[in-house]
Amino acid sequence: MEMDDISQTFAALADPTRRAILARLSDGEATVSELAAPFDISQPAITRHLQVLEKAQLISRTRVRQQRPARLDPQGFARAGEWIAHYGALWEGRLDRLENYLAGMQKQGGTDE
Amino acid sequence: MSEAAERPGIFTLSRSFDAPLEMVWAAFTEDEHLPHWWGPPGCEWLGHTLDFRPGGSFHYGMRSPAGEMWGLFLYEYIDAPNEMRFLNGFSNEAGEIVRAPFSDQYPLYVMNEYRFLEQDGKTVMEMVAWPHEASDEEIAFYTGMHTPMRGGFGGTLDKLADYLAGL
Repeated sequence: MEMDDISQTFAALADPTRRAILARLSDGEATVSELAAPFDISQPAITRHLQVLEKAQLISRTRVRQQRPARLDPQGFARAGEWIAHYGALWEGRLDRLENYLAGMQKQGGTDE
Repeated sequence: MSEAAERPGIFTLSRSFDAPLEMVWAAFTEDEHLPHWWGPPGCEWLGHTLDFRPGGSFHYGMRSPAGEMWGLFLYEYIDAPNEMRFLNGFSNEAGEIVRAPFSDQYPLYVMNEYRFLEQDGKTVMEMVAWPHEASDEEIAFYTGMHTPMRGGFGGTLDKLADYLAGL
């Protein structure tokens, strides 16, 4: 069965190295050798991570002379964003907000007595 | 028979709040409270109608950096202040159920059961949700989403939400 797009996006995000690559790319586009430098892994390994990210539409790669710099792709992020908006940036986050909101309610209610 | 066998794809979550039961119930059921915390940060609240009674609904819209999204709850059973059961799904602005914007494999309807119990001045909430009248494919998709729903990627998705909010 073909993996649904959003499943692919989350599978791609599940790996810490790939998340670190995305964090680096949020500062601007970078080549494989630039991405490999801060990590203790080979350029081929970086390339494989980039392929997963590209398939998940979290990054896109252009061709500039011999290089293929990677940059963030809004498509995958938009899909993940729709999902996150539905889940209130996840249940734990939503329930944290409720907790804060309840603390505010209690403060307001408590001053009358 | 286990709960999971009767309700394939079941998602469970529980949480304790340092607040009285009546207050937690109010936060979930009253017009003046629910919209204040339901939507995620970085989302603009587009409006809502809340008719909290069996047969009533909660219809709300929000705009995130990813786009506009409407949701609908259809309340089936209410036993205040301890239990509520409702169907929920994505909708359009007119309040009709539609497919999720992020996937055609997400179930059209998810059944939700929330229970609230007071224990030593705190309120324990137990939430269960499962795909309603869904295909095997929809159930599999929903089950695959359990980990990210729980925030199981170590806060990554919250960071991603922050990132998207800043776009």
